Amino acid sequence: MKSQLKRNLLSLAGLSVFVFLALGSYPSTNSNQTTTNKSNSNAGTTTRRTDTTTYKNSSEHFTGPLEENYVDFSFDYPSAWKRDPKAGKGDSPNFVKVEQATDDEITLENFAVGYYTGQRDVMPKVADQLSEQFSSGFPEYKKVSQGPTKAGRYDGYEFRFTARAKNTPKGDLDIWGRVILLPGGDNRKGAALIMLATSASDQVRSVEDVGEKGELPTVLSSFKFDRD
Amino acid sequence: MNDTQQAMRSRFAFVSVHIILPLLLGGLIYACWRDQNLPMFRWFDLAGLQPLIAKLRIAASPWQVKLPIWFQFSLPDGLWVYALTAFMALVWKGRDSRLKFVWLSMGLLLGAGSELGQLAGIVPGVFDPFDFFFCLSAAGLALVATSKSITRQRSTNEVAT
Repeated sequence: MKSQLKRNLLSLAGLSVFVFLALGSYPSTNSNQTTTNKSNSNAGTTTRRTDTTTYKNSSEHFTGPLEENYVDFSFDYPSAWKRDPKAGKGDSPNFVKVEQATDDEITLENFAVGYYTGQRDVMPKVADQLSEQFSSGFPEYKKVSQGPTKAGRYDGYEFRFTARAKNTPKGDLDIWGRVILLPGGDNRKGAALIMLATSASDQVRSVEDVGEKGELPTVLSSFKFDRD
Repeated sequence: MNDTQQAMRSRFAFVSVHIILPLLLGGLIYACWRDQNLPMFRWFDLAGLQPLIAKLRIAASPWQVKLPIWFQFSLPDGLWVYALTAFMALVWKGRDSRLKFVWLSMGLLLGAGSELGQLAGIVPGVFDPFDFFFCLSAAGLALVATSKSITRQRSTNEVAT
């Protein structure tokens, strides 16, 4: 009887250690509370707590490829960030773009969501193609890594790149980018998450920090498809 | 070498091979290739391991493209289930009780069960058939491997006695 009790206690202690270890791999989530509401043309936005705002994608007002490849998603972003009014309109490849910038319009960090219609198995190839496209838009572009990753609760595929902007009001700046492709599910299409940070940020110091340090981790970890 | 030393040695070998090694391997996969926005990376920071982890990630980054997705995302789950099932098998070896089976199935319940919970929408996250398969296989493999190991260990002890 005593031996049985001892084994039960040992099992319980062991289980606690295993559960603790498992918690280390559990993605952290944003648990802000809803306080007030706002609205605008393309999206329902809800201000959460005082420092984050929720963007919720809505199919209204999108045209062309964005309308054809529309996907329901939402994410939280710091309320101090600004939404790019051009995103989601005209030739924009993105549904939305939010940005933290300096007073002289230098990007510190930004986050954009575009569409991705491919499936999981073609992600490495699509990443190569996207990287090729990006290379023409950034001076001194260099892809530095690519491979599987996780965005919040979703498995995806990413590539990271560096570039350099010269003669900005803040001098020469390093640009660090990270693009995550999230494949579609049974009932929805996928998405491409595009994150940029520059050396003007005092929190992001390298391409490895994009989405890991600064304010982007809050945005990234809160991203979710509204129809899984 | 007396019986107690022999038993201790066998137990140490069992713990090393069936529990510590799978946990270390799973942890290494996370440390090398998984998103750094996970609590374990904050633990590494707190433990002062961040520079070591950074070096490890740089050294391991060329492999990231070559490794299959299941290796990075499903195998660690399977290794965790394997180690937990093996731990319970060790604790409950030589005992026959209903509780033994409850504890032995804990890895399977938590691993594969949480995947099924995701499928049913009662556990946060997205159901992944690969994760489910790995958890299921790992629990089965652990039971087979550890029962062989424990039987072998017991027969060695019997001969020694």
